[in-house]
Amino acid sequence: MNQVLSETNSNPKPSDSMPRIAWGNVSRQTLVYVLLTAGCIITLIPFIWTIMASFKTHAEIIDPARRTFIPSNFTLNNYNTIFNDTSLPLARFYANSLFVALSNVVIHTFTSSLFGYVFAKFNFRFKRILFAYILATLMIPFQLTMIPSYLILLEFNLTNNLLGLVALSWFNAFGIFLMRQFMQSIPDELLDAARVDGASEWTIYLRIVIPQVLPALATFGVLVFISNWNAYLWPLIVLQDVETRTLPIILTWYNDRHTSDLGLQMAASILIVMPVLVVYVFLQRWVVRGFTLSGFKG
Amino acid sequence: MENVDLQAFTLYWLVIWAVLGSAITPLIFDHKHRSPWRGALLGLVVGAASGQLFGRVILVLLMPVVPQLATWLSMLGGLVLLLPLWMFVKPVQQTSPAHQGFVAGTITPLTFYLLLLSVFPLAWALLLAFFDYSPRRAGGPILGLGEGNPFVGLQYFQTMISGEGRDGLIFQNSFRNTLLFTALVVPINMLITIPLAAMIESVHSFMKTVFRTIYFLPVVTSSVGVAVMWGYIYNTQYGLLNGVLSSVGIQPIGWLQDPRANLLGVPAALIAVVIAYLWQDFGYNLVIFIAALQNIPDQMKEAARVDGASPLQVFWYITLPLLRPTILVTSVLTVISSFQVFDLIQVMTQGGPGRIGQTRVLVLDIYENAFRFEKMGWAASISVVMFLVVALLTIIQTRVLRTQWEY
Repeated sequence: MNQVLSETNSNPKPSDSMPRIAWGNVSRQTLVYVLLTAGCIITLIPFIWTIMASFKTHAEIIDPARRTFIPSNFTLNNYNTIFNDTSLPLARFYANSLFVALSNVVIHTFTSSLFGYVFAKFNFRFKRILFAYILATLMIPFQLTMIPSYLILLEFNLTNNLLGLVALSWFNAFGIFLMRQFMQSIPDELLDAARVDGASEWTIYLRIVIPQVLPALATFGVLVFISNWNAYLWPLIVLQDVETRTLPIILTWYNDRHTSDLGLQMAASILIVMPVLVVYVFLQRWVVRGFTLSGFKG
Repeated sequence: MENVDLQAFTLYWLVIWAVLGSAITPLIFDHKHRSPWRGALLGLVVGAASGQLFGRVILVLLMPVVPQLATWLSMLGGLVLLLPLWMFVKPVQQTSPAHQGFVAGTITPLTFYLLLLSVFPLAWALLLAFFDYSPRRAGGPILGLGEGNPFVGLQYFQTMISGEGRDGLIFQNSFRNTLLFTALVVPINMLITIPLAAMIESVHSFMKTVFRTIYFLPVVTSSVGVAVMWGYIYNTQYGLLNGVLSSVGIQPIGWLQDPRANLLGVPAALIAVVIAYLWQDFGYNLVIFIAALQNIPDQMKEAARVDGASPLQVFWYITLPLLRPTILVTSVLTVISSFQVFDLIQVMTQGGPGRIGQTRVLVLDIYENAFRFEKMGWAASISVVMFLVVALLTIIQTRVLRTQWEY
């Protein structure tokens, strides 16, 4: 197709003011596609290499002569070893990660939409100062408050406890800021009409405001889920007992015990990385939009 | 009673009933035409006091009888005084002008939370930077500071500047590595993402989605997963990279292990983590640039094209200047996030190779000092410096890019 076009339009007039399908245009488009596809391949190679390695035998991985992408002896042994390892209760760790991620999603979507609504639609004393402070916390790196936060968790006796990753993180400055932007577009007349009908403020929030911003809230929820599922530093500090740990910490812990068996390591990382990737591929439009809107980084 | 951590329970009672008291009381006060803000404050004080007092009473009374239930029931201590408060408030015979119960009932708990778990830790972090603090040692009465955890003044900051001793040496090395890491990541990231975004923006909309989805995959991948995957690629004996290099006749390189391997004086291990980090992170700036490009009106590019500008000229003279605000935002965010790099390096190299660590960065230094060596004061002072440097870099970037943008 490109070939045909390029031959028929091989001599474009240089000062042509009409939109043109020029030879240069088409070959440029081809070049763009080639470059983008090459970029995709580079992006995907680490994934493919890892997935393929997880199906290779140990003998194949350590044989320099057989360093190919496609496994020559396809095997599920690595996955079997992981699933049958009694010292690795994988279901437990999935449950841990799921618990932390989902709890934070529930808490953060609730508080972000609630405070976003209050900041967008109500006036009260010290509102500007309070909101300015919340925005300012965005600039403070987590590492600064990490040590006192850990000491506070110690006082609460919540270290080594999954609740420690949930109970004290009630609000999300990004979330409040993001939801406030959306809440501002809700017409005041709609809220006033409900008030005239005698609805209480909580009813208005639950029945009118939430449905209006549900897509944005869902996007935000997905982001919270992903960032909590992937979180490493804070869970590493809080969770010291093996049974309470979340998946990323378990991955490093497991790999430290099987340093020589790369196939096993790759299978373990696939098991931990894949759930989020599957969620992402299905929800990619929302996820990407969420990241773009919020400047939210995991 | 021995198996109950009374200190922790004191905090549970405080937090639960301060929040519930200040959240519910304003609604009731509002109904009865009283000032909801006063209600919020009253609810907070009464709830917290009642929680402390009756929580303890319930715990002591029920512990010998039903030890299992006692801890849970003690959580209800706040209700003892709050319920009477709610029931016996008399309505005032006047209509209040504005119903603010909802606002008072949400903002008061938020303020309480912010003071307790945001302002207070921040102040604590700043304080810790001036003390030789370890949670194991018995300290003074206020936050465990003093006595066993003595005040050291500006000593830590002097150590950082002079680079004396092992701590100072390692800090200066981590600081240099972090700067070098950021200096490598930010420009390369921009050089990759801006042209890539322009290319993606120019293709058919279906393919645009496909490309965007694939390029964004690493961003949502767990950074520990990324570190393990790249660790295998860089593996000296079995890795993909050395496999490719050996096929063109290059000797295997110990990418993450060999302290002598380097490129133009930059350690190979640092280059390796920079590449892995770029791979994981570039999709994020990419989608921001794609979104920004979509907002540039087609007429402007079309007008330039009509005037005979080549696509490269259009990109250079029209698109790029219009992207300046976005470049400012993304470069600031990338500086901040690459300054905070931890996961990749902790998993891939643990800060090594080499005696003082060729890939050791500030956050790794903070983490190890605080949670492995329990030198929390020293770690806190490093985190304060890190915060100041990031803030300074952000201000400089904003100045530089803005002046260019406004001429």
